[in-house]
Parts: sequence; C-alpha cells; structure tokens
Amino acid sequence: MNPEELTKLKSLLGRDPNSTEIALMEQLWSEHCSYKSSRFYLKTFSWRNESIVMGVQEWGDAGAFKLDDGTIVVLKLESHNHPSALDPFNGAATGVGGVIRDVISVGARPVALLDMLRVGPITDRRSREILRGVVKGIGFYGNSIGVPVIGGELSFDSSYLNNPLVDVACVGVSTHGLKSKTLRAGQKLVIVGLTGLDGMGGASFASKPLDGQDQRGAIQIADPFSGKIVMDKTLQLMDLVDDIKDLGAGGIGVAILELVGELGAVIDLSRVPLRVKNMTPEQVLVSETQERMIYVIEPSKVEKFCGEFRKVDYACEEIGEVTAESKVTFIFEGKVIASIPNIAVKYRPISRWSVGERREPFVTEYRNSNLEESILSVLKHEDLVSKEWVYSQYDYEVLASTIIRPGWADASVIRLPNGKFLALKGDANPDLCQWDAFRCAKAIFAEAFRNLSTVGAKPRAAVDHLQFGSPASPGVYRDFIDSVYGLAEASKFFNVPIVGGKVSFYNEDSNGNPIKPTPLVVMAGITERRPPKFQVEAGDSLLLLGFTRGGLGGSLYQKLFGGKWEIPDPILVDDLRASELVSSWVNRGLVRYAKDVGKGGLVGALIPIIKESLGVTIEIDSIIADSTDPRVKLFSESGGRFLLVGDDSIISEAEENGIHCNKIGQITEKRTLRVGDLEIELQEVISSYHSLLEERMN
Amino acid sequence: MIAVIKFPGTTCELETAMALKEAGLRGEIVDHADFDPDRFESVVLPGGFSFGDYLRAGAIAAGSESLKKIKEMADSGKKVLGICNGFQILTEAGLLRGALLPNLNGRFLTKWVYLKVVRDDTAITRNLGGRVLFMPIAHAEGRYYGEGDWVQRTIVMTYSSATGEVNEKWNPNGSLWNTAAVANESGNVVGMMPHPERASFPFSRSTDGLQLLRGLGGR
Amino acid sequence: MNYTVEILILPKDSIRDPEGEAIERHMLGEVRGKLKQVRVGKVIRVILEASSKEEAIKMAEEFSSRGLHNPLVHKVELRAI
Repeated sequence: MNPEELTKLKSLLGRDPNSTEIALMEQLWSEHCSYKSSRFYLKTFSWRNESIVMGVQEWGDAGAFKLDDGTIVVLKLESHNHPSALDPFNGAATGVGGVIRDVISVGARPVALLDMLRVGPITDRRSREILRGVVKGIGFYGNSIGVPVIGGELSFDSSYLNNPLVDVACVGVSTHGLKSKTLRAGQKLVIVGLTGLDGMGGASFASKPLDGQDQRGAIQIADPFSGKIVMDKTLQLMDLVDDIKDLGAGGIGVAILELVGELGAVIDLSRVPLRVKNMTPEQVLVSETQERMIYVIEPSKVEKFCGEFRKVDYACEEIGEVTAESKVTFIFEGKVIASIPNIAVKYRPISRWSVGERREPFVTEYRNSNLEESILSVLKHEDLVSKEWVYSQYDYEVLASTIIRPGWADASVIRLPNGKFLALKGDANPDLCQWDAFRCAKAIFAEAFRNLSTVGAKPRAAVDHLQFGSPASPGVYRDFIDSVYGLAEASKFFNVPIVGGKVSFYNEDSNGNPIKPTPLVVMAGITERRPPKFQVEAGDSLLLLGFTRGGLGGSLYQKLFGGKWEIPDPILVDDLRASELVSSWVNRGLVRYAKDVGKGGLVGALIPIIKESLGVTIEIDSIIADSTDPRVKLFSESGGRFLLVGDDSIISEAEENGIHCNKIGQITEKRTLRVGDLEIELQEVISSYHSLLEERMN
Repeated sequence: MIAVIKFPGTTCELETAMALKEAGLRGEIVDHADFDPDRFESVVLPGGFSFGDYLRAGAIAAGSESLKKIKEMADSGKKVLGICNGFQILTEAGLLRGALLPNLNGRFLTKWVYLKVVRDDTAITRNLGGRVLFMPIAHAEGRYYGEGDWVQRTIVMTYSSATGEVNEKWNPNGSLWNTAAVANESGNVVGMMPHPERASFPFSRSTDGLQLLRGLGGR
Repeated sequence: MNYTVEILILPKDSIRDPEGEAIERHMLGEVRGKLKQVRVGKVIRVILEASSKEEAIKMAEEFSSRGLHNPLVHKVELRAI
C-alpha cells in the first residue's frame, strides 16, 4: 500500500489501521480488484440496450443479455497471464475454474468455453513448453468439469515470450433469472471448500510485473474434481440461496467487502474450515485457495444446503451473517481482528497516470520479396495453420450441443436449451494495435461482428479484456485509453453493448518491456437456424464481397516483410452492411462458404479451401480495390469484406445494396494457386497446414 | 426404467438421459450413493471424470458400493452399458475384462470416428452386425489392452474407415486390434469408449448413437 | 558403468495435492483413522552411464531440472538402485 492510500485509509477509519486491516485493504485496493487505473475510462462502456440484463454498471463478475423467451445468456472473460507464466498447467487450469465459478455465481449454468492464447515464438523451446502446459491445463479443467471448449485463438509473437496471454471466456445460460445482489440483515454467510495456504496474495500478485523473484506463495493447484462438486451442487441447490460470490482474488476478505453493499457483516474466521492447521487469521482472510464459494442463505435453509455438500464430503460451514450495521467485522476466537466501516468499503482509490502522445506513423525496413514467396509465407504462417493439436485435447463435444466445432468456421456455435443457436467468437489483433490502438480496437470489434455473421448470427453483446504493460508508461496508458474509446465507439455503432470485461496491466518482461497492446473482444450472437457446415468443391466460383482498401500497416504481410504502410481506418458502416447481407444469405441457404477476410488478407481467407486439398485460381484484375498493387489486393486486411461461395443471385443482391461483389476466381481440382501467370504448388502448404503444430509441439 | 448413474465428477449424465428419451426410452439420473437396483431394468454408466479420474480413470468409482449392486444386476442378466468413463469403471470393477491404458499419443483426444460393429449378440448391437457407425470419442485413457485368447471374442466394435476397413491407420489411440467397445460373454454388459449420446439428436452431426441406445430397451 | 536412478517427483509439502486428497477421502476411507496423509507423485527410472553412484545421481538431478519437474511446485528425491 502506498503512503497516500495509507493516509486515506487512516482518515476513512478515523484511526490507525492494524496490520490485518492494511493487508485486507491492500487487496481490495489492488489494481486487480479496484481497477484504480482503468475504472474512470471503463465507464465509457456504460450504455445498454433493452436486452441487457447485466452490464458494466453492475460492475459484477459477468455480463448478460436476455432472449425473447426469457432465456438469459451470461458472458464472462478472464485471463490468468501471470500464473500461467510461472506454472502453465496450474495457472491456465485455475483460470478456467475461476471463470466458470464467476458464471455460476450469477446463477447460470456454464455451457461453453473459449480460449484465446498468445505465447512466444513457436521456435522458442520455453514458449512451446508454456503452450503445452497451458493447453493441457485448460483441457484438464474444462474436460473434467464437463464444459466444452468450443473455439478460440492461438498466435505466436516474441512480445509474449515471458508473458503469455491466457484468456478464457465462459458462457452460461439461465432459464430462471439471475441471482440479484440484494442482501438483507439476518441472512447467513456460508462458505464451501477448505481454505489452505496456497495462492497467498494473488490479487496484488496479478497487479505486479513478473520480477523473477520467488513467487511460490502465489501458485494455486487446480482441482477440477472439487470444482465439479461445487458447480453441480450449486446448480442443484440454486433455489436455496439468495446470492453467491466466488472467492477469487483477495480471498474471503475481499469477497465479503465486495458483497455487502450498503449493509454490513460479521464473520467469524475461526469457523472457516481449514486444510492445514495453525493458519493465522490474516492468512485465512486473504488465502486464495481455489474451489471455494460464499453463499448468502436464509437461516432456515443453511442446514439443508450444507447437508447436501457434506453428503459428498465437501466442507460447508456458516461463517457469519449480514448485519444492518454499516461495517464489516472479522473476528477470530472472540477477538475483533479487523473492522472496516462502510465508508472505507465503498471507497475505491484512483490512480492517475500521464497519457502519452499518439505514436508517430511508423516505418519498418522493407524486405523485398517476390509474390510467390509472400504468398507462401502467409499460407504457411504458424498463426494460420490448423489448431487441431490444441482443440483435440479439449472435450468440445461434451453436453452434446456443439454445432459448429473448433476449426470449422470463423465462429463457433452451440445449441441452446430453448432450441436457438448461440455463436461465439474472440478476436484480437496486437500487430495492428501496436501501431494504432484506437483504430485497432474498432477493427477487432468489427471483425468479431463479421465473424458472427458468417454463421448467420445476429451479434447481441460482447465482453472485453484490455491487456497492456505498465500504466506508468505514458505510451502504454495512451494505448489503453485509445482501446477503450475504439471499442466503445464500435460497440455503440453496431448496437452491441459491452456488458463486462477485465483489465490486465503489468504484462511485461523482466526488463520492463511491455507486451504489444492486446485488447480482446468476445462477442456472442444468436441465430434461429442451425448453421450448416461449409462445403466447397472444385468448380465453385469464388466471390469477394466488399471493397479492398490499401494500407497494409499492422497486417501479417507487414509483419513478415516490413515497409511503410498506412494504418487502415475501419469504415464500420461497410462492416455492418456487408455482415448483415452475409448473415441473411447464410440463413437463407444461399452460401456454401463464408469467410471473413482478416489475418493474411485474401490469401489468408483461401486457407480453409486449400486445406481441403483443393486449388484456387485468382483473377487479380477482378478484385475491386483502391490500388493496383497486387500486394494490396492479396494481403490487405481492410474490413467489410468476405470471401464467399454461393448462389449467383447474391451478386445482384449485393449490388442492389451498393456493395461490390465480384467473381474473383475459382476452386480447382489441381492443387495449385494460380494468380495471373504465377502458379504455386500447394502440396507442401496443405501438409504443413495439417501437421506443423503437431510436429512442432511433439 | 434405465438408471443413469452419477458419480461425483460424472459429466455426461444430462445428455445421456436426454438421448435415451430420444431413443424412446426412459432414463433417470441417479446419484451413485442413492442407487436402488430393484427400481431399474438396466443401467448406463455415463462418461466423465468420476472422482476426478484420480489414480486411474474409473478406479475410485469402481470401488464404490453402487458397483457391487450393478454387478449383481449384470449377473442376473440385466443390461449394463458403460460409456467412456463408464467403460473404464466397468473394467476397473472387473465387470469387463481388459484394461484401458493412456492413449498412445499421451494426450486427451476428441475426434469423430467410424466404428465397425463386429459382434451383434450384445445388448446394444442386435441387428447391427457389419454396420459402420459415426460418433465422437473424447478421452485420455482409451487404449484397450488385454492378454489371452478371450480378447478377440469380447470385441464388439472396432475403429474403422468410413467404409469399414479396420487397420492401424484408423486407430486413434493405439487400442489392441482397434478395439472401441467390448462385452462380456453373454453380451449384456457392454463398454464403449465412443459417445453414442453425442450422436443422438436431430441437430447432432450423426444420429447413429440412437441405434445403439435403443438396444437398452426391453429385456 | 551403468547406474539405475529413480527420480521421485512429489508435490512440495507446501503445495496441495488434490489427487492424494481424493484417494485419501474416497478410496481409503476404512483406514482413515490411521492414515495420516496420501501424496501422489511420479517415478521416472533412468539408466545412465556414470563413473560413480554419486555422479549418476547428480546427472539425474540435472536431467530432472530440465523440465521433468517444475521446481516451483515439485520436490525431487533421487535414489540409485
């Protein structure tokens, strides 16, 4: 705790805090729990439409929207970057556990997970080791608890060498409304699960850079079996409880402080069931042992509730009650060890950082390459190869409701209990965000919007995760603010509210180098019709919908070959109108293939066709663009564009809407890519697509 | 009525019960501790990670009281089907012979596979001899292993190509003779690694699972 | 000369072992009164060429630290047999 915060705490308490109170408030006021560096700007997301039942205003663990029949879809996104850097397996696994418990906490049943992974170069041994552990950990937890991982992202970049990004999103469904955060005096506070010494000080740990010092105390061990018991029993006993709180960062202390609102509570720490003997009350207060929850229950129901947990040998104990007195008191063996008045509970510190100037337009050295080399480099890029090595380790079929599986399309789809279909997609673009976080944030929101439309879904809500280096760096802080405004603007434009999110600062290596700014969006949409599995065959014509714009800044092409390029300025109206058309075509059965043009540009969008052991001919002159440069036509990642195979009628329909749609080529049986006079053999591309990750990782 | 047994850590009980309904049967999810065998004509042990699959997949569940009851039911001729973790439990408990070892690639593996029915005298494969079925596997310990002349006779389904070829190319996990499912001698106790309940609904990628599950009806 | 060395990898005393806990709770219930603790680890047996037992153990220790165990959460016991 810094001196100003200590002074503030003294004035709020009206006395000197004791050491336990300082430890407790340090957790509550950590970056992780208080959002002190970001909260001010995050309020930019504070708008909603009529379908949102839980938004950023609630400042809760998750966000939610409602369907016409009353079904509520809950979204939550969380990272476990620092724990995964230290212990990839347990770090990633406990991240899955936490995000699942957050969804349960609002009263919903978890139905799907997405994982968005960013690690160091695939050529680096340690990075591969981290990836191996992370994937194994996510699978271990997700598989064991029975929630399918239905999609995600994996990319490699030296920026994440010492600081991998492990983002996991969880979606939940409730048909009986959500748990409200309305407490009454007299309700009992009940804890399930044993408290141990693991995971001490995780909240403040998550808010500090990795300094290579001994971080042992922060290691948490994943126990999905216990997580499964907590999940199943909580869902079974939902009617008995009034409110639920996951014990996340900051442990019991922070959970109670965050829970009480206008009321107070008395907690007897000597009643907390322990895994190890002789823990001090301070340790009990801040321990972040996994697989624990706190429940708010009417006194008459506590016995029945705990009886169910004890039946499966799971600890369950009443540890206190809600009081009308406006303070939270923690006692241990009859003695008060901490007492925090509401005025201090409600106060959240603010950290103000200086904001740097916009980055200068950049130039990177251009490495001349011929068209063939450029095409092959993109086609074989490790970010674009098959991720089967990853998702085959996940039980993406459990719950028997997965419709569009990982690797099938730009978005994943599950069937909801009400018979409708939920589409999900996570998008980020750090290569672009490093140059212009504002434009980039708009672009990733637009990309997620386009991705959902390729499976015919109407986007409904999004959650975000803003991941950066230290806010003390003015340039980094500028990127953070730009990202917020970019996302907010796009969210408003598309009428897709951001209903929740997270911020993770201090993602940097031991030399203080920040990661590339990595805002991330996970968007959810709904479709009435079951999306088809795309089918293409030789002879099919390829249609390009949309206008190709120059500006390869931040593109994969620029990452590989450098050069001086403009940063594309997203034209959101293009994305909106083209997406709505594509969505309607998918729903009317008019397209057999719909691919968003994104990473790798048009060439990247050909990969799902080529991987089916097919060839492609591209008529470069048919590509409508603001440049004659073939590099622009082939590698531009400008928005609002889709590669399609489908009924001829869509061309005229597009034109009636003032959107370019042209035949730009054909799918061929011969496994080559022909662009003008150039003919590139694809056999090696096809085999590297399928085997690269498998071979590198084994 | 068919009992769908839930252990702590079982993950597939809901969709298994729903798939039974889809097959025109009545299934009821029962906690293993409350299981009353007299109420049921047959039993399904669904997939998942019973007791976290700690020690070995299925090992802890195999030692529970409910397995003794299930053994009695099996001995009296009632039908018992173990799916994935359920299969692992049945081998660990000795209701089926052989063992399920870690996959040869050392990893958990989800994959859609084709299965050739090679034995049609079991509870779930009557009239399906020679058929090729399509459904997913999802497991880390599914490499079937056994020693002795009996092994060949227990095999009910093998991993195959879409046209029913059975060879190493179609073996996802290193199972002996591509074994995906086995049964006891009288065919009333069957264990299978693939998940029929995931291929049982109008919106599923395949509905071949229903053909197997329907066999659980009647005596 | 060849030495056989067993590398025992166990969770550190300060680190939770959910697998051990599950076995203790759900499998060995009847001996619970006398059972004090269950910890689950891995044994990796290696055969290596070394000039002495001590050197063999040292070499095995070196191998193990190259990723066989995670020093953050595991402790290692080595024995030559």
